[in-house]
Amino acid sequence: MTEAVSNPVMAPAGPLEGVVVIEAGEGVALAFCCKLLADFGATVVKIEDPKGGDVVRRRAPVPGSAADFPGSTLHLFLNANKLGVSLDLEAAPGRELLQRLLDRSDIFAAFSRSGAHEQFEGVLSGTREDDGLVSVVISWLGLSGPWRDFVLDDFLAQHLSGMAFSTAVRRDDLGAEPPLAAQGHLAEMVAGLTAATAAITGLFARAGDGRGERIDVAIVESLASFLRHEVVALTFGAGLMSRHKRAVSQIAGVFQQPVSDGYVDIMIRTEKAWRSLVEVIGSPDWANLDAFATHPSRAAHWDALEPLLQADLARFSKAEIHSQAQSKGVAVAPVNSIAEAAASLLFSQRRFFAEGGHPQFGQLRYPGPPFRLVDSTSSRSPAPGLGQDNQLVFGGWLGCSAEELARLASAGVL
Amino acid sequence: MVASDRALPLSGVRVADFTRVVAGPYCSYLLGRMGAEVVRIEDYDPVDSTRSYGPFIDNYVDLNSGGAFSALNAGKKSVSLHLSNPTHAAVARELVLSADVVLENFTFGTMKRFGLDYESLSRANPSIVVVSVTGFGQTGAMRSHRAYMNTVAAFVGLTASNGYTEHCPVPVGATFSDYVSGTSAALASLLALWHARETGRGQHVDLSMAEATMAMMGQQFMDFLLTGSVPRPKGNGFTDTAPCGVYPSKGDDKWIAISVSTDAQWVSLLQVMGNPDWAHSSRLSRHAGRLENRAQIDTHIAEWTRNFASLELSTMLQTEGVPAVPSSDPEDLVTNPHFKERGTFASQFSPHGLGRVIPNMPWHFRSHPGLDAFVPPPPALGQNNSDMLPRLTSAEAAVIAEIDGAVQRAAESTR
Repeated sequence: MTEAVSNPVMAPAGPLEGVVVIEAGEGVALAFCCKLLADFGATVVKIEDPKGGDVVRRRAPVPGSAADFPGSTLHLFLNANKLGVSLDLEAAPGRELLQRLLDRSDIFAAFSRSGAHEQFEGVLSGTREDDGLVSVVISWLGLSGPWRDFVLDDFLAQHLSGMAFSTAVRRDDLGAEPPLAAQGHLAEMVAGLTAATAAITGLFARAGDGRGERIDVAIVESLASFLRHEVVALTFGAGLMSRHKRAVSQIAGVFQQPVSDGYVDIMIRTEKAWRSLVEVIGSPDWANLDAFATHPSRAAHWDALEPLLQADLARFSKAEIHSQAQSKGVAVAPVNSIAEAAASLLFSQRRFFAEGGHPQFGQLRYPGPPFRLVDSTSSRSPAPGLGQDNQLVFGGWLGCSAEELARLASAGVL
Repeated sequence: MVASDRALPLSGVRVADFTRVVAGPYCSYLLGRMGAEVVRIEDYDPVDSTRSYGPFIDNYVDLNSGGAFSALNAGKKSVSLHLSNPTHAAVARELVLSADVVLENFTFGTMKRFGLDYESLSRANPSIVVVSVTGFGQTGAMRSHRAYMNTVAAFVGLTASNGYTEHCPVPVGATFSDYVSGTSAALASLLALWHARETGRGQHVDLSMAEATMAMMGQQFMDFLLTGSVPRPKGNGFTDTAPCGVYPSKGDDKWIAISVSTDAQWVSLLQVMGNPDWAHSSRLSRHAGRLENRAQIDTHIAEWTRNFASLELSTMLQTEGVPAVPSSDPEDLVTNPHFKERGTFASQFSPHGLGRVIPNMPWHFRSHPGLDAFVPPPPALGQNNSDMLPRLTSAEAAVIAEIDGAVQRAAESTR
């Protein structure tokens, strides 16, 4: 491991203590990848352009006042626990400082913009993967291939990956209900998780033979990897699946249904589960019909069965059917809003939300990482201001003199 | 295939894999493709339900060749044991204690019933890592709740923020919670193993699919926690730019997605469209005007796009700097020239010698280009009983023979 930056910021402890990550580039995927590494103890130095910083800082909503700009909620979430420096990587002195940082680092995580891959190759050409640096380069479509310079965003990535198609299955009217993308930077978040996993795999590679690695993570491919059932349905001979409700040949899992105060989602995979659900809703006479006796026959007669089931479910609230069905071992859950989910007793029992102080907002709650580990804490230090840690990183760690830093700042490099 | 001069990153790591269906197997798929020896410890009564899911090549139905199973279990080994049998559970324990990482997604309490809980295993092997994947975690009020990917997504608020109208939420596709949880479990396994190698101490990772999914919704929860805002379904029109949407293209249920976010991209789009008269209004030359007239713009674009195939039109638009892509269905995915060149989907060898294309890996390691070229076959049920059980356990030959007989009967009953 390299000699870690002496970090006055209270970073969470964790298995990556002593691992140094340099984050260069912008966007949600890169920031989330490095946030995960920081959450598990790595020292992450986030490099931003001195002229305005990462675009994520300005992506609405931005809480607080414009005069006292702390950055968007997305920036606050993605960049907690990181050190922040400003550095112009298009200037030769900036690239020279980057190389000096990389000489002391374990992981270089970067975002390569569409149309700028060759320029980015220039940055990478000086990196020392043979000497042990693990480079993870995130881009929309990858560093190779005929479409590598196509311009994308998260919305387009979800559509190109097939995720939007898969979301829009079991539809009544295909024209009015086209493939559907989801809110919340879904593709980029998945790519960030994927890149973090790849980066740690790279550390294992280095532990084996001392050599680093260059890893190419395409945001679209991170999501396309999830389309396994859909692709094999085609390639293993069942044909191209239709999005229409009636064409879906899968088992009648029941899925989303209305109840008195909203919706619930139900998954029935066994006859036992079906019989238990029927018992919960009061064992109505229609459930004894031969047409509904087995899984395949229920699927075949779903158009007739569903309205009958819905009429009985309508007597229940989300909470009632959730509680009663689960007590019988039936997989049912309420379709909660974000507010209802956040208020759930379960997540406070399990301490999912992390906490940390913020100079402007006082004590903040943050969504937690996907899991917790032994020796990891869930504290959060606030996302850094632009160039906040220039002195610490370039002066204290790289040993740049005060005069040199002043010269670089006046030249706009810092 | 280009051979690598390096061992795969996880060479020498053994994973004892009790997981079934999607989330757990996707985790161990990622670990296995990176060189870990993944040993599925799976029952023959009942078998992992994924083995029964089709489709089956040429309708040849058997436990080892279904599409769903093949896509998630490439390259793994299989030892078949009936854990409810105490003799088999004892054999499983020996096998597990030879592993670095144990993966399981049984309902809460099951591993303890088999004598395979973390507390018991760690007394014998203090560096062992156990990763348990369940819907809502091993602690808390919902630890015994039955869960699947759609119920998890519903509970955590992902479903409610998605849909065509506010009145009917639509679950996010591709069993999103399963794959996110599987990837998170792979990251957890690696981090815990890294920690064990540094400290000599293993751990039990309690991975809740609900929390893994919520971690992907960071902005939505942060927005809510800071501002109280709750996202509502807005169809494809949730961005603050226009035109941004999905439009019909030539063919049955074929679509193209276009996302214009700058004035320059708008001008380029109009040039490709032949500068139609309806677009001459100065109101539309700026972002605010286009947002205000979003619906009318979308109608005009849809009338135009339906004359073109999505692949052809996307390429034409991108060449002029207009962000556009096909809204891919599975056929579009496997025929896309970019994905073909990169090995995003690759051929898998099968026991029958027939290759089929399946999704490959979500990342590319420069040292291992061969991983992009093909995917290894999945294991037959219990195919490694005879080489692994005598080598790694004290299982008697008679027990192994009895198991092989039961596996054969299970396989024959499926055909």
